[in-house]
Amino acid sequence: MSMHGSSLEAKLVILGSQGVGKTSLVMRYVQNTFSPHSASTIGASFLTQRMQVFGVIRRGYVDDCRVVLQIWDTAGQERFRSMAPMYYRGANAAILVYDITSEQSFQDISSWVEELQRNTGDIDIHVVGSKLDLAEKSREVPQERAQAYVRNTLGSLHDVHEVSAKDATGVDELFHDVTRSLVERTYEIERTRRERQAGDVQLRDGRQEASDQACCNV
Amino acid sequence: MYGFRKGNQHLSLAEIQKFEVEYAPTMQRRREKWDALLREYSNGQLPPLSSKVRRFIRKGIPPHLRGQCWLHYSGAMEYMKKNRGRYQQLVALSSDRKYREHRDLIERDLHRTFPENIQFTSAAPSTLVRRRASPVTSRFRQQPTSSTVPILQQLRRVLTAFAVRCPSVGYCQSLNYVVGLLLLFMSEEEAFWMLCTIVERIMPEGMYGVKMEGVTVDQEVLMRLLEERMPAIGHRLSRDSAEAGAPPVTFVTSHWFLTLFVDVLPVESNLRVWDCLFLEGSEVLFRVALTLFKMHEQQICAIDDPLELFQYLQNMPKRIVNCHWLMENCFRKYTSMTHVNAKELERRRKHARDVTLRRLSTTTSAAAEPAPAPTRGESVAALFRL
Repeated sequence: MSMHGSSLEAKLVILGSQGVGKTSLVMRYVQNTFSPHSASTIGASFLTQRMQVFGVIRRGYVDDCRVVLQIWDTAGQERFRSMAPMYYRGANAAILVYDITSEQSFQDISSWVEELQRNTGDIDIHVVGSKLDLAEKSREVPQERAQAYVRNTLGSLHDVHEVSAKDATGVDELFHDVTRSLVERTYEIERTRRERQAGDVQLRDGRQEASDQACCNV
Repeated sequence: MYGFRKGNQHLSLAEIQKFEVEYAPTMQRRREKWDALLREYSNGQLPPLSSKVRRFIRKGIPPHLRGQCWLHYSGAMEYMKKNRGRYQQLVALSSDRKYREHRDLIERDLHRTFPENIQFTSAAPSTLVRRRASPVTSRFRQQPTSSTVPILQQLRRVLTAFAVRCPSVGYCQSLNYVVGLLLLFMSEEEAFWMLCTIVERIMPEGMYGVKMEGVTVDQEVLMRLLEERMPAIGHRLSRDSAEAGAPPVTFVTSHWFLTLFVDVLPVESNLRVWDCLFLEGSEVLFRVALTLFKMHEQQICAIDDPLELFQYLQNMPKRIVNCHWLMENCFRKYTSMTHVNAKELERRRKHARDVTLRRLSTTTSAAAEPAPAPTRGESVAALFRL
């Protein structure tokens, strides 16, 4: 049941250490392909993906929202990190990727979280463990530990996502969750703003005037 | 060609084949001309540099002479002759524990270098390259290695030896592509000296260093040149970077410079650029970049959406299959717009360095709170035109 055909454009940036599989994750999601060795990313590359989020409550109605995701896939090598602020500037969400078979790549996540929290307003952060297909053979980062870290750092409503770009496990769900969370946050911001506005109006002349434009652009 | 898969989302196999048919007579003519030139110097040596040689190089070095010409005219061959045995020494040193971090970073990129090139994915020996069984190679073959692909083992050794030689650079992503392409045309020791020549002599200081400040400076220079010589494009691009959220064009162009257009231009066009780059110097990168902008001026100015424009810029070099046309445009048709010589470039780089440093100091002093020194990330962000 869709009352408003809303649409939203959002910027998503993918960050994480060299070789954790950032490009593979994006390629699996956008093109549904996987190659065991994708070319290393220099600087950053940019892709867009359209999707739809169903059944989000907006102004008391169940709404469907069309989303255009701008996905920024970045280089992982430490020295390219100096360019990262230009990629995450203005981003609405960030996916931080570590490799579950590399403790070091997981350690690197915390500095990303700190940097994002310091330099961006309220970016929506998602922590993702990649290469789940290798879990049995060479897992180094237990899921429980990653989960505990994520809850501790980002709040109790957050979960670590474990995915495999190789066999596609969890990839669509991840991007769906990220997008859904973006839409919900946007509606939440919109609601708060409307309430504040309505409050202002009532204070001034008692007339209530809800602005009806779809202010969905983050 | 050279083991690369032909055809991709940007350029169809048919388009490439059509061009190859057109280009074949030119290739044949160049081959004959070069053979005649070499006969003039009957001793089988490459002739010393002259305006004729330079003209020949701009028109393209035939594939069978490419490796040799690059080595000779860049000065890498001389470098190598003066340092006989040094490469083998460095390779031996590179197994030391203290270089483990470099080795790990390089290892992670080996299989990600030209994953679509057959020579980088199978054990097939290269047909193009003069292979010599160097003592280094044979010694390493006896050790168990993670990869069985000969060219990847060479790539690993060249990159680690370079990291040992040049600690201020170590290993920088994108050098894997540069060395990978070199190895299709020369032996590993030659590729090593060619790499040293590129990083230490041809490219400006700090291009591949840990802070990559050379990238920032060169992008500032390029943007200034664009504004001066193609104001319509310069205006279009600066308007975007002024808009919040629009990605600066330097994201795209810094990739061009770091990889020396590898994996950016189609391979034959890339090789034609390298022919000139190794003889003439890094000004060639600016000339080619300006040519690419000029060739797409109308389209660039017609695209209104900043994100669409960014994607267009990202992909525009990938369609330049006609290498001859690219170089003709660069050195003839648009020469007045692309021309920049070494001296002028030096002056512009100095100016750009001052500008970026000033921008950095004003950005940091403007920060009111007594925050700790900006992280490296923040300082470089300030250097870019945000």
